[in-house]
Amino acid sequence: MNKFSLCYISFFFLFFFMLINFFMSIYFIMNQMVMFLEWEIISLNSMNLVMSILLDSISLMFMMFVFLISSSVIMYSKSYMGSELNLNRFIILVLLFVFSMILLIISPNIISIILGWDGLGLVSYCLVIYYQNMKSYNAGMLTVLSNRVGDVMILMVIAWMMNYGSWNYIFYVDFMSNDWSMKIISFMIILAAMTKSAQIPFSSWLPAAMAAPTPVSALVHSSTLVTAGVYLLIRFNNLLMDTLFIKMLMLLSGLTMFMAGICANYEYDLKKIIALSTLSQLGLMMSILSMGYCELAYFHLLTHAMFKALLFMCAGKLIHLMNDNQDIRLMGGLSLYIPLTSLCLNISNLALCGIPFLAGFYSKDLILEVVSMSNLNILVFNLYYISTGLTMFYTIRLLMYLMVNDYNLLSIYNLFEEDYIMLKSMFILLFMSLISGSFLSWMIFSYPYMIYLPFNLKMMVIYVSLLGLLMGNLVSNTNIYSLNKFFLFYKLSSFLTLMWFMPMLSTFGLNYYFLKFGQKLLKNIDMGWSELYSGQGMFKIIKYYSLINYIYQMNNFKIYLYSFVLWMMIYIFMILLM
Amino acid sequence: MLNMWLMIFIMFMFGNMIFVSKHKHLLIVLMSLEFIVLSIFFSLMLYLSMIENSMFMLMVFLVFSVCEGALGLSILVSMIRTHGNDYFQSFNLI
Repeated sequence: MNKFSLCYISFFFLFFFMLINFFMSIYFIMNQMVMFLEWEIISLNSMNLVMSILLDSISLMFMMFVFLISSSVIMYSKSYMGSELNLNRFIILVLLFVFSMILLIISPNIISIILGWDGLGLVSYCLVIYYQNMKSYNAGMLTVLSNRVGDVMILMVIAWMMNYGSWNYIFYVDFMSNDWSMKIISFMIILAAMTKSAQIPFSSWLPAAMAAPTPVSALVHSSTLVTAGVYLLIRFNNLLMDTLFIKMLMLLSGLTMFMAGICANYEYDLKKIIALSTLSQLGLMMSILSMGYCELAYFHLLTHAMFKALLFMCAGKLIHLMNDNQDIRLMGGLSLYIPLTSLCLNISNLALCGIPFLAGFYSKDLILEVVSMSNLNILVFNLYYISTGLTMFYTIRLLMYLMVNDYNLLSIYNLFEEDYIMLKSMFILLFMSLISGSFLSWMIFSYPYMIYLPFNLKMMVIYVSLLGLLMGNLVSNTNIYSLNKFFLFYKLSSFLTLMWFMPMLSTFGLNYYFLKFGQKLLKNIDMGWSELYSGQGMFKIIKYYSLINYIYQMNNFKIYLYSFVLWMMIYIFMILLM
Repeated sequence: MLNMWLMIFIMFMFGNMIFVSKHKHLLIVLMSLEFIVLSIFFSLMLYLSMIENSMFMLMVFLVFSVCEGALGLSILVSMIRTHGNDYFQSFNLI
């Protein structure tokens, strides 16, 4: 039977769309054009049902990146999921996801945003539960229910936007920003973005969603799903500028950045480290957006998408090579054995840290310089810089475990990395993660940022990075005589590694108390009072009284007849007397 | 004439009392039923003597009462054949 796979066709289509969007975005930037397409579906007396598409340079650039990453991921999954029976189903799910994301990107009204948003949540659930085991089911449930909170928020935004006459929020964001309804809408939009981008109260789903297949993680959890929240906030930026809620977002996203950086240092699962690194960079994007610099957030979104997708793909290749093993303590010395994969891994990790002139440097360094130039308190400043140091810390720790220390798996190894389908898709993203930083910084910014800093503040980035490098070197010492100090500070260590116990809120806190209450109800009411008044109690009463009734009725036949004769006698006697 | 009715009434009542109260032997019950029949026969005769040309009704009544007695005795005989005695003390209304 000829197994027809959709991989090549979808790869070529997506790559073609990427090229179209690339040239259109450059054209739109150069001519400063915005195109707004409208399709009037139906028009009754005063109601127009119009489907609109907003083609902006922002949306076209973002679409180009989404198409690029998804085409690479589909090509990659041809080899990664090659032994999957239902590969076409997987590809169709990925294409549905890309379609929902595109719908979200190009929509100027809140109704098609919710179509894209709900589509993203639903399709990411289907993709997370793709391997149908218990862990994937739990992870999928956590993912979809966290995302569902955001969906409810956007539904309420739709309800509140009915005050304004149309659902095209594009027209109202800078005009009506002092209106009370708009303040409520801004709160809900921020909350929706926080659930989608896994900020602090809702951050438990992102490490759990690593139960998905790695191509799904590369597409969804690195670049598209989690950046949908950031994109929504970029679109609503003029509305959110000076509200109270954006200051709340600054604190929460700074804390997310910090917490994820700490957690990634305690993790030994490769995909969880990368997930927490994504969470940390998302916190960075959200916090720079909450300070008002939405172009910088967008810039970091795009560059981060490149190297994070590449990092996930390298992780997937490593997992395949290590015989489906994800623990970094069992990997080591890989730079000697698999040079091309470790090339991609190294470049993406160094781009993540912000090493000069790779992709991450342009966005991250600019963000940190702008932060130093702006008016902040010491808490937020510390959160930014210490998180940058922590990024370096977990990256160097990861690289030490993967590359420098000895190979730990088995004595016999066969690391076959010449799988050119996977490698070619990784090379596309490698090329982009090298040049996209500089390319985007020339395209997006029409004038450079004015940065004027004292020497030590400028070197602060290098100081914290070197400090992180030193710490990463020290921590990843796997000699047999080096002590693991985890158990000396057990409470502190478990607090830091379990994401500050916040997943307990979403899992334990929502399940345990309700189930316990249900148990109390069961014991007291279902098996207690309700049995007394309706079930067994009624049975007992009926049995008892029917027994009494039986005793009353258990007469001698003689007595019954006696009473009959007695009455007859009395009756006839009365007749005789009258 | 009136004390005839009183005597008939007393016969009838006592026949009923015995029918109701003596539940040890079926033969006693059947005999009380015959006694009741006898009292009704007497009262019927007294009544029909006052109406011209209708004493034949008494004969019809006599035939039916004899059939009833015969049926009762056959029930007694079959009960003795199945149970061995004619005790019937197990009558409850339920």
